[in-house]
Amino acid sequence: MATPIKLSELSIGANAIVREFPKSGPAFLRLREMGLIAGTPVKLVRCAPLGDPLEIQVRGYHLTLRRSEADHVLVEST
Amino acid sequence: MSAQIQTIIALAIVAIAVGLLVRGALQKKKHPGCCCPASELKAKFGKH
Amino acid sequence: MLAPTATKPVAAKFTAQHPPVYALVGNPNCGKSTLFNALTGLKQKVGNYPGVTVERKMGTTYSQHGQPIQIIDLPGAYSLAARSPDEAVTRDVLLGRRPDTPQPDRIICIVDATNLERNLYLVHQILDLGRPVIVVLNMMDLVAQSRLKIHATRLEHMLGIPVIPCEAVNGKGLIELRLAISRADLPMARHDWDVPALIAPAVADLQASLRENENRPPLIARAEALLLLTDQDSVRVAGSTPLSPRTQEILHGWEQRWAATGTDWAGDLVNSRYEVIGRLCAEVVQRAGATGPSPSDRIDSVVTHPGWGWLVFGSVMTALFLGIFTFAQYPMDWLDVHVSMLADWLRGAMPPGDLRALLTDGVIAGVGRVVVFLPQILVLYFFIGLLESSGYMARAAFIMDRVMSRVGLNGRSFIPLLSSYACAIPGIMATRTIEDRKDRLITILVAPLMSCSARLPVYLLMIAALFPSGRVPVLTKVGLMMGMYALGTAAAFGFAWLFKRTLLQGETPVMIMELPPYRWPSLKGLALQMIERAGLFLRRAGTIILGVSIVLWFLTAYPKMPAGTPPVEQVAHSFAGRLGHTLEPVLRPLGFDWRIGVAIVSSFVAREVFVSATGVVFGGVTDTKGNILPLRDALQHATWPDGRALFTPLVCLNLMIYYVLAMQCLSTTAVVRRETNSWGWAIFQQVYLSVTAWVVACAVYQIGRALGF
Repeated sequence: MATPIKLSELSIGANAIVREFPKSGPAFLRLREMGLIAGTPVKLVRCAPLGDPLEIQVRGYHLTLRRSEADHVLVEST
Repeated sequence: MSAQIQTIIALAIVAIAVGLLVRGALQKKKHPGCCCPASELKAKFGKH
Repeated sequence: MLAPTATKPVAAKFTAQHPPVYALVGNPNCGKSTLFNALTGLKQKVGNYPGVTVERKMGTTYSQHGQPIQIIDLPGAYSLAARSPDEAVTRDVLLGRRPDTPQPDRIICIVDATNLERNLYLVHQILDLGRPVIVVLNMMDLVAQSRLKIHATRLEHMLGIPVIPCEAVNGKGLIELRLAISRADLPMARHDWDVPALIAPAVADLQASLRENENRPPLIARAEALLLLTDQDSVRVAGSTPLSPRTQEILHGWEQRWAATGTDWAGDLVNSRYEVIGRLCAEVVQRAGATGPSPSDRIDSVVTHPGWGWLVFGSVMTALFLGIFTFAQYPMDWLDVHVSMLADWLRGAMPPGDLRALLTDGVIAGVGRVVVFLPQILVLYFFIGLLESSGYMARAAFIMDRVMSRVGLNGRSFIPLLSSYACAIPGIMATRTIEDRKDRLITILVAPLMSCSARLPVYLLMIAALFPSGRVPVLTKVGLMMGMYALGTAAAFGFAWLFKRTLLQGETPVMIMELPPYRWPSLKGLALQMIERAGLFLRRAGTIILGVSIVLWFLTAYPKMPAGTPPVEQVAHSFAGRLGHTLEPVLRPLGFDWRIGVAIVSSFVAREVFVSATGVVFGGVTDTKGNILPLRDALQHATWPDGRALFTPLVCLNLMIYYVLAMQCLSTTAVVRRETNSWGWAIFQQVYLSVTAWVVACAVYQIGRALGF
């Protein structure tokens, strides 16, 4: 079992499973409602040309979020 | 149409224009964002 | 401990006297508008929800027996836990919280079949409401393309409600949908989901209170209770009925209890819903083969590529601009010519007099100005619609987000600001996609600084006046123009940053956005949208511009001088002229005199009026071909009373700078007032821009003079 890392620390193209993220904060509920709950597989597709935001693939669609938001999501590489 | 009649009609139009502009401004103050579909709906459905 | 009551409701019967009201809901980008258009055709009414700047779309469709049925197209939402005014309206209408809109009897949920799981989340919440629901599985064509198979009948069986596969773009599935809509009886969903034990007592409490104090039917009460408890940053909007004090008390009590014990109510609730959804999808969705990169993925690998992406971006933006300036130019010129022809005809047909003058210089000129806007607005809306429905808009926001977040904005502000280069009005209207109220306001406030195309005639005139010999070196021309554009853009970003720090402080908005797959846009839908928007513009701004043109004519024609006075003197003695004279002390530090003042005041109606106004004031007339040379000569000979040249190069430059920064467009103010629902912000915008323009122009002139120019 690998130690959880931040979503923003994943390498491009890497797959991972969501482990944990904060129970409060500006968008935590929306992220969960969009499907990013514990146990969900995600894949980091790319970073924007200027480095931010990130694009991930989750539950069959593509979602963008900033590094600052991705920092709060802990994942485990697969 | 003589010049005097023209002047009278022209001034009347100007007065109407000013009146409508002012009324439009006041109406918006009373019902912000309200517009035709809303009042049509109210008429159709009454109190639902 | 109370358990929430979940009594089975009675489905509303569809009778001839009371056709049900349908609501159309779904995630953004799921093809809802296409379906709505397909169902209602042109029988749509677009307006605003009173009190909020959210678009309200109502339409009429017909049952299989030809009976009219009302459909409300609710704004797209990812969840009923609203995070934007759009979603708040959807939530409020579904819950029956808005007295100005009928509560829907039945709900049509559109689902993007290519990502069923996330789309079903909203459906699951809607099933809580206990109203009859029809599920439409849209984009089945894309499902086939991505080698997915969806067992619609199995889903229908599991949910217990009609599930209709559909391809809204092609019209497939519409007949079945119409049949379903026309059914007298719709089955209730098999929604045996229990509120998670962790939050059940709280829900039961609130549900009881809502039933007692707000008279809600039991299932709606439960749904609302659930939402209230789990809707922490809930967006509340004007126009929806507030909660009773007792209910609020209970709500706060539970919220505090949870905060104290650190209960992860969100985790519980969302997980519980997704569990149900997961089970559904496991039975219903089948992957027919290994999934390689989809066509969208392949396009994106170029479009958002660190290198190629910029090329694509630049090309798209250039195409946008060129499109506006070329496609719109021909119709605009055509309209210009014909408006002048109309005025000439009238001059021939009527004896001279005030009415004739009012009609030619006030009414026809006024209407002409409005109508001339139209090609640009249509082209702009066409391009924006194209970018949006194809899916590129989201990529543009994705790419530009980093730049935008530096000034505290969101990537979504980018396209509205970009559109403002053509005309601030559609740009400001495009800010509706920005969720955060403060960011939307900031974008609206700085949009006029993006040099709109109406300023071009002013720039061109001033550039011509700068050069006595006549021929302006092309490079200088381009350089000056770009300088003005750069100044405007820099000012826009600067003020955005300033407002974010001071007046409209807030956190940098989150940038959680879906990148929808690329789609071929529906031209019919685009055309409908264009016509709709253009019509709205004509009605709103058009009436104001016409009214103001009439008033302005009056101000320049009265008090009357004896017949035969040259127009220049007439203007000098008119109200407008006197206004110009009184303004002169304010304008002199900028190097402007009262005549320029009159032209500036006149151009409040529309910036291009500056050119014709200077013509009237300085005596050089522009001919019907828009040839500015005679005017240019007149300007170059204009002097102050003491003989100094009025239009020195410094003054010309200064006038351009003034126009970059000043808010000289009453139509824009009218639109801003409508979009912000308050006079306050519109006036504030006028003031801050006028003051900035004055200060900067003053500084430029004084420093320029001091430096010997």
